[in-house]
Amino acid sequence: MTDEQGLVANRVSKSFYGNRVLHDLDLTIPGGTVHALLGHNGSGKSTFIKILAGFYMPDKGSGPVTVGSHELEFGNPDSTYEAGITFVHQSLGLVPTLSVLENLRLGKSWTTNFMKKISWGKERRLARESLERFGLGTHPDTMVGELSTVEQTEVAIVRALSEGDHIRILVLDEPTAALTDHEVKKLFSTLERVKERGVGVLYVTHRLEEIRQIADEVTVLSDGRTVGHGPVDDFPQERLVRLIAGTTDSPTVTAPRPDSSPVAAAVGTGAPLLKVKGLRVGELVDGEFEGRAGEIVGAVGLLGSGILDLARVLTGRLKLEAGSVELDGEPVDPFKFARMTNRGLGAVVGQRPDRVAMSLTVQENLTLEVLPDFMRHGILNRRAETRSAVEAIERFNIRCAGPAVEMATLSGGNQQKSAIAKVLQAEPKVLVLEEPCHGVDASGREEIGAMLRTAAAEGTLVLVIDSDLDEVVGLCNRVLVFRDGKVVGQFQEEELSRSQLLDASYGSNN
Amino acid sequence: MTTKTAGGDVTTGAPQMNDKGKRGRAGLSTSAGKPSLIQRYAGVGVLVVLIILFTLLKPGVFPTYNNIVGILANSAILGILAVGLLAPLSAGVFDISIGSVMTLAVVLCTWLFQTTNGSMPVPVAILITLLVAVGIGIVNATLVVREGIDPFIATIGTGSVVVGMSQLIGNGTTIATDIPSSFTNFGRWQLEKLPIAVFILAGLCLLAWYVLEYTPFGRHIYATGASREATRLSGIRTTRIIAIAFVCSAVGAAIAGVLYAARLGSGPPGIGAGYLIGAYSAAFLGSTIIRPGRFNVGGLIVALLIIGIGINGLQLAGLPFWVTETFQGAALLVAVLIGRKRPAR
Repeated sequence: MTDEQGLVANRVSKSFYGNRVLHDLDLTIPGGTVHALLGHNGSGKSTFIKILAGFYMPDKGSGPVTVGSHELEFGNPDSTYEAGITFVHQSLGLVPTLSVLENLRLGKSWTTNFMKKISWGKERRLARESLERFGLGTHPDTMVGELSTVEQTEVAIVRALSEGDHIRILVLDEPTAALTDHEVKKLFSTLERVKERGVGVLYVTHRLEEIRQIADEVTVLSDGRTVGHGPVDDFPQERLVRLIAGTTDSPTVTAPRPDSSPVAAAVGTGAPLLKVKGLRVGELVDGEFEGRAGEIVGAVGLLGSGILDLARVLTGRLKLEAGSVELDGEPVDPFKFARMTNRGLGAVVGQRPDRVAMSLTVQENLTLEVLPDFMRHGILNRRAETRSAVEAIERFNIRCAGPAVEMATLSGGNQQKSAIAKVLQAEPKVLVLEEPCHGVDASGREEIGAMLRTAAAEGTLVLVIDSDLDEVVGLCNRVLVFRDGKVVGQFQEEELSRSQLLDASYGSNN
Repeated sequence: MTTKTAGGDVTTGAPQMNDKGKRGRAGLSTSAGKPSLIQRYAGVGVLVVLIILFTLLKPGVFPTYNNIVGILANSAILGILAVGLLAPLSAGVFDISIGSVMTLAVVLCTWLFQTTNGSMPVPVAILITLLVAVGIGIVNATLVVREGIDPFIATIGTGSVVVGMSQLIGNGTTIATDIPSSFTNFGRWQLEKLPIAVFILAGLCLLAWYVLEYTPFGRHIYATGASREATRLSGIRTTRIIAIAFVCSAVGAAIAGVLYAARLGSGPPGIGAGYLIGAYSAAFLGSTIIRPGRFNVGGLIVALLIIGIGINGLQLAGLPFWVTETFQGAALLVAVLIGRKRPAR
């Protein structure tokens, strides 16, 4: 196995609807080396991985991409496999209720005897051998669900590499996001064995401090452009953060905000409407912050920082292990969600199918939280209900063919506006939103931003939990940065910038 | 029908549309989201065609008052079962135990008279039967909502246990002793040859229509069926909605069972099983009519008539006993196919 057998990618570009998200990426990974691919959300990392996987067609003129003598045929996953590229995604793709052995053999043929009975003894021995090759002592009969996260990651790596002897390149997509420092070390010793076998590794990660231990080279992407490339030692952490952030803040960030000076005076005054303390569950270790009427507070962080679990807690999807939540001065249990909404909480989650009821009409969605308001003498006054729905459709500029059409006929952006409008109908004191602009186009973002600013101006505390820094910078009065399950930084509107948030997210003093 | 989480995120199939495949499409809104008049009333057209067809085929028999009353009488008990079933189906959960609950109601009600030598007052026996049904509904709800068991599996299980219990009570034979005449008088009461079950069905339909169309609770049921999570996030206690829905279907089945026993004057074992498919056929066929994509009372009534008249007409045309089950099963499949083909956007 020589260096020639590594991955060589030339001028890979990708545009969506004329919008270029990846510019002429050049990348070389010799066999037996680890190449770290860095960049923030939307920088083009995953676009590149999906092109490698044959999931996206790159733009014309891209390529060639070769592994050894094998040239990749774009848009064809079989060609990716034949070229010897294999993937381990963050979700790992293991079946927790099957054994390690069964997971290793998933989708492959079994060794059988003449009666077509699986030769378990032989299979077990082979599995143990391939595990040991990577220094793993895991018993093949253990249920994968009983393994620790790092062991599962390792099993996924072993499985990916045992797809065939021709595997030359392993793509690891954020393998350490859910791991502790100690577990990361263990994973790296496995990766050392992978390197020893001459396999090249494309290593995608958010955690900058660890790449020095494992990577040989780095490539940094920002807005689809390669902004840094070279041996890892040339890139101290501060430089990496600066590159990832981009030298200037992106234009969407500094979009003019509507004149909000009369409101600003009232922002953040009065007793806190939402006060959380010592939140602990999952990735949250000690979540603590408060918010007041009229504020738009952002909560940001990388994968594994705890913001996802914060959103789950505040929308009643995850039961707290410890900590307290106070809503408008009263302690509440967010897991009893209907009580939270009665006390004035509104929530819009990130998952699209959960935001609105697709097979109900637009009107039925918009009035869902305020139906009792339309009761007249024990009968639902449909006319009043329609009037209110039409009003909301006009006020929030929801583009649809009328209140009586199914929600499923609306575009994603308009569904999202409907979801927010639905919650706003109940005039919540606190509005929690998870990734409110995810997958929404630019004009939709602006409209959603305007909806949230108006709500805040009317005295609602808006909490935006988002992994997209651009969103919160343009929108929030105050941003909380989460890392390792805690708030590690807090920035007021005046001092908000993308690079500062990134610094805090990655931990710049490392 | 799938269960995604322990909380039981469940869809009942046909009328719920598939959310996948629509993501991220451009927001070109057309009137496609609103069913057309033809889509809405195609089922009514089918009913009219059936009536005309059988009138032409059997002019002396089919369009007579006696025959029509007979069709209504035969459809009424099935209709009561089906109208109760609307609640769980609208809320997005299956209840397979309704046939068994009907069986138990028939046996339990007559056994109560037998075991008290006919001295138990009729209203008390009926009340006890209905309360037992409420209990079964609560057990179903607990299994589905609290334990997160797939509703299909949970209610097959409870249904089987309930059938077993009714065999235990009735010893597997027909109970026919000590049935008070006031009970059979109640069951055989009629007005202009229209049996009491028709009037009770009409009352229940009116109630269900009011609740589903004109109360927040009804809307919450539909919302729960459309997206349990989105509804929960709107501050609605979806677990309670589903629990009440299971109680509704069990009580509907018990009413059907009591009326059946009262009309017959005895308690045969195992009659409910035959009604299960009929109720599902009517409910699913009804979900393609008037409010396509939604289990609705108006559609259910039309569907009951299509099934009742279809079976009656085919029998008059000379087809033997096997036509009932065949027609019901075919109607169920056709309904599901129509529901699936409904334009998605």
